[in-house]
Amino acid sequence: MRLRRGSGDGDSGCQSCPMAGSAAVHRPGLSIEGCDYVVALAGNPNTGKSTVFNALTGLRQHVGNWPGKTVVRAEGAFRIDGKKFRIVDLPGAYSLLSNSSDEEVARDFILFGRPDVTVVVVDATTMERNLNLALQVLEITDRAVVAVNLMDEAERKGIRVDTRALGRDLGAPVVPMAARSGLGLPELRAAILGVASGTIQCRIHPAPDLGAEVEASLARLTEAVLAEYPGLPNARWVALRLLEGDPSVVREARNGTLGDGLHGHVVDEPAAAPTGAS
Amino acid sequence: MSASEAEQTVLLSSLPRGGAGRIVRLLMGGPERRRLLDLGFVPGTIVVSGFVSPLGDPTAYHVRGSMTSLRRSQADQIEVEPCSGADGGAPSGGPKDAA
Amino acid sequence: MSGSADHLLSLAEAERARLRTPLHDQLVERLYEEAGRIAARALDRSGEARRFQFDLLLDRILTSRILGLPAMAALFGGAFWLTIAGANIPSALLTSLLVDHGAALLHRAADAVHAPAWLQGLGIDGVYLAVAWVVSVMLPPMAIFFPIFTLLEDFGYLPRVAFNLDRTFRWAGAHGKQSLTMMMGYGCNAAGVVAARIIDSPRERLIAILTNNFSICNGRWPTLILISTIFVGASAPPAAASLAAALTVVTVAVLGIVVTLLVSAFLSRTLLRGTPSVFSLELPPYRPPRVWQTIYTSVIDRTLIVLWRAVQMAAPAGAVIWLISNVEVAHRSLAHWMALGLDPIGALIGLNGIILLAYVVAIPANEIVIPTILMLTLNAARSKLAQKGVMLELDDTATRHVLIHYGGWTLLTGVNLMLFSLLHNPCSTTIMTIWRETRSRKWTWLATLLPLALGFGVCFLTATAARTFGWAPR
Repeated sequence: MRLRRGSGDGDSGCQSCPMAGSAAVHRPGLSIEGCDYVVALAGNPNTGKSTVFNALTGLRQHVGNWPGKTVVRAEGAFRIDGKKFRIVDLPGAYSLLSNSSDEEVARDFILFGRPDVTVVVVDATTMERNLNLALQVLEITDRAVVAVNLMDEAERKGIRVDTRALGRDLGAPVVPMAARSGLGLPELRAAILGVASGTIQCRIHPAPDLGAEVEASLARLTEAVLAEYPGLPNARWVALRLLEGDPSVVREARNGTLGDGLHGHVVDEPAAAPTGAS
Repeated sequence: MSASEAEQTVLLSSLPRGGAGRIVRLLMGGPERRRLLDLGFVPGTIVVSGFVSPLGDPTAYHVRGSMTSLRRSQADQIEVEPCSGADGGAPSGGPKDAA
Repeated sequence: MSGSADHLLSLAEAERARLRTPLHDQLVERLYEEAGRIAARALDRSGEARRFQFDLLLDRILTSRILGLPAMAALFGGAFWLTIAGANIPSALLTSLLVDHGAALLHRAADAVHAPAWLQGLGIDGVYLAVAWVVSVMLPPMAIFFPIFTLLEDFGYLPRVAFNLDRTFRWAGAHGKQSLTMMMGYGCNAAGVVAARIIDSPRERLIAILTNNFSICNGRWPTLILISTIFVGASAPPAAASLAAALTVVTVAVLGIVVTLLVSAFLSRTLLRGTPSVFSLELPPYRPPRVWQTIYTSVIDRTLIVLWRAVQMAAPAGAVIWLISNVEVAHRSLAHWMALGLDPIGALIGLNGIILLAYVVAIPANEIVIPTILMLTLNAARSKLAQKGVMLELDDTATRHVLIHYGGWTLLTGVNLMLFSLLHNPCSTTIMTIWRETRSRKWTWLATLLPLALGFGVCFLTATAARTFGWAPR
């Protein structure tokens, strides 16, 4: 029954733990009644993700200078221009490829929970490692905002970030932030609203080319996946995981639960979003 | 891909304090390998040996702008090619251009 | 459905067999290449070196071979000293306010509305007093300890502690971060168990959860200080009394660390052998801590939530303690009969039935163990000093008098009570927390029973040894 295992049949585990603060925890697709958009907050551990979460929601979840504070997902709500947003603070993840249980929670939500906007918080001081995750997210969704946090710290360290160049390369809105002091928050809110309402368009970042041999295998497998699960978003991504032998995706394929989050959420959602399903 | 120019490689654990090396390959497998790849210990990356715990293990390494510590048993399974501090001294260390 | 899923999986396997290079590595390498290219275009690192040197210098000092461990000892020694010294006054104040005056005031108010005596007893002497007790003992040290700890966390120092101590924990098959969950445990074991989330490797996280109880929580420090003062201190020469008492407390705490490491080593080599384990420990950059915000969030998140849970647990315990002291069967209170029943087991391990009963009824909170023991001891002796079911606190001399003359305690009883205080089941709040964190009946039971079994074993050994060598009466 643990939330962090499997794709979405978990019960909320931690409502009363001291660190979860006042934010409740729910499974994907459960708590969208009464809100217009769902926002997922992703990022490497210790990038100030929870600080961004607190800044957006006005909640005061405990934040530490310490990787791995938010292990379960915390949820909150906020409004922009009268639109009601529900935001899910996902556990920190270095990658969507790995198999740690925390990363699975993050990955399953982004992939199958299909949030309207995914905000990827990246640490301006360790940009490369953070971009590794951002690229993976941008590969599976075209509705993302990249928040470059800790700009103040980067400046103190003597690192200058050209967020415009970054935006061009990533194909998604990039917002420079110093969430601890609230800098960049209005811009982030505007970007979230823009992406959610469709006034800002991102482009899916092309997945890295793995060479002719792999790509050919992948194409055959993607076709098979789509035959099995018609309309599955990110079929290439799923095919790549299967090709890799990713245990959790293999397990889900075996149980026939691949993309179950889909039924909980996207189906109920007003068809406002012409999402770029691969 | 395969490092045939292996004459020069040493283990990461044998880098002197402050020494830099370019990762040639990871010798471990399984979840450990995946985690290290996620943390940026990717072939081609420059790693700088930082400082050692007062008890002798683990050791902190600079890799791609962040500092991660590895136990000796892990550093023993990473092959690097020592390189001069000139471009390895910086805390970042981009991969060699490829593709 | 599953038939075609099998088809999909076998297709994937066939395709995988065709590939010549490990796919995952290739994928990650491509991703990092691209991340590196993008970062190179977007970043200007020309000014970076200086600041980097500063962080490095700080780290060289805080993790240095010579200064690293002393600096750590000084920082945490200071933190614990501040907690103990700073909590004394507010604790005394709260006790006088809530326990002494509060209860009297409530009794007067209840008398005014002619509330029946049993209701007053149950509500005020039972429930209210237990809660008041827990709050006044628990709140001040936590409100000091957690913010200090959180400030160190915010600054970025705590991962360095894990880094400094990892080797010791590696020996035990554990993670250096366990040193930090242990320190949280000195504040509150429930908080320590939750803190184990910072350990991302499953095996090491479980070890940290299962052994957190061997960190003496702040509900147990007062018991140790009191007993060491009135038994060990009092049997030392007067000039060395407080030193002997302090050394005794430190010894018990160190014993706790030793037990933690031994049990961790045992678990990692037996029950948890083969559980996946990957070490990684990031050392984040130092950040100037935000003092006020940190104090606010740590008081709200850690202190008050932990306190609230303890209060929820203490309230029913207070009711139970009052009831078993006041419900009489065959002219004796239930508590008396229960203590009599537990006496043989208690005697076997150098304790007595009342102590065991106190640990049974005070499972929700260690804070009320001593007040309950005092009350039960006096009631059993039919002394007029204590009302039935009303927990009480006495000064050191009176406590010593009551325990030795009414309770028949010896030095062995005192020593074994301290050992048992270290080695017994976690409080119910912690047990609940372990259940929430592990979602496993097996691990929750193990975490509960293992320390208890250790406590019985160790106390039995000391009692047997003491009696064999004639240090204690048979």
